[in-house]
Amino acid sequence: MVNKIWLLLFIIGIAFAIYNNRIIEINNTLLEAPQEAVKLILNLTGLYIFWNGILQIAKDCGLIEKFARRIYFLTKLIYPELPENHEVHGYLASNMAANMLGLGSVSTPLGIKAMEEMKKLNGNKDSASRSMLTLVLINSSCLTLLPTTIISLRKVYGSSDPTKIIPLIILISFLTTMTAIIIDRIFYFLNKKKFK
Amino acid sequence: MNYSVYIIPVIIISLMIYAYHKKINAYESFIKGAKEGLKYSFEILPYVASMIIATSVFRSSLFVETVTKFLNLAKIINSDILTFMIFKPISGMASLAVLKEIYQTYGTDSFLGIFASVIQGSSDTTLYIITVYFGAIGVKEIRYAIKAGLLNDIISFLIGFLIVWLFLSV
Repeated sequence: MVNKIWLLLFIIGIAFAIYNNRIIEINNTLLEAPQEAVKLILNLTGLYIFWNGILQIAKDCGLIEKFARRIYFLTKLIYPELPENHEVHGYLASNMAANMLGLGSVSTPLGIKAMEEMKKLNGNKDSASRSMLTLVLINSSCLTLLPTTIISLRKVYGSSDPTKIIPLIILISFLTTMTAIIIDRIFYFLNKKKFK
Repeated sequence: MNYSVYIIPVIIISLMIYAYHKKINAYESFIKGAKEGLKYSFEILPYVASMIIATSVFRSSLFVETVTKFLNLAKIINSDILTFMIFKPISGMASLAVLKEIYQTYGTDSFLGIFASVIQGSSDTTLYIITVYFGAIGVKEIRYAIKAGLLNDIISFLIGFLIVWLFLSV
């Protein structure tokens, strides 16, 4: 499906640009977009290096394991497939905590770390396990308590009350995280046989 | 009131003090983790680049804007907010650009401004999350990830619309 979406973005984009007389813009985009992509990743690389380093310190102190044991009662409800007494629960809970605080650059390395542990638990197969899909869905719906980016943006664009939306965002992101978990369960039970 | 600026520094200093107390070689640990972080960003680069190039081409054709303007003639839905909702799951940069246009055209505290704010603030770019998370660990068969993610995006638009509508009519 990624393949189809990817191809369609190019086909519709270029065909419509020809029809719409925007072929010069397309040429510019083809020149600039790859560079933009590398710039974006370079910026992220610094953050990934830093936060993964911090994370490794926490792990070597035994903090991740401790946290994993304490939070297991909660994460087992969302990820019933994962074994008890495994550090993956620590990464999962930290990933969610970082999301809640609006720290996107911290939550991604934590999420990737959890994905990596899940891949090991799944016998290093190159197909997604049930819990990987749950994690990705929860991250795309993203439970938020402190939407810092959007508040500063609203301030810049002259909002009389930039923080007015905080309770709305908390409520909506909570509900959509719940629907993400429900949708994930439904899709899992419909596709259960394919996982074996 | 802005205590949020303390979160990261306090987390880091607490960790450093704990590491000192535990007598572990924190510097070595940091380097080990940092190397892994470098590996992740190296792994995701081709995935992210391929998506950014494709969405940029799609965006610069103005296909979505043209189609939504056409639909606006039928008075179904505001064309700018529809453009925003179409871009939201596929491109973070595009949806942010449309959000700024909505702020400028309708104001941050209009119905559309608030609706776009809460949608932007309460979800992440689905396609980006999927490509980064699965790309970083080299998982190719992603099953129903896209279908389920997009379905949840549509549901979140409906929930968001309902709640903003209730909130503003009280």
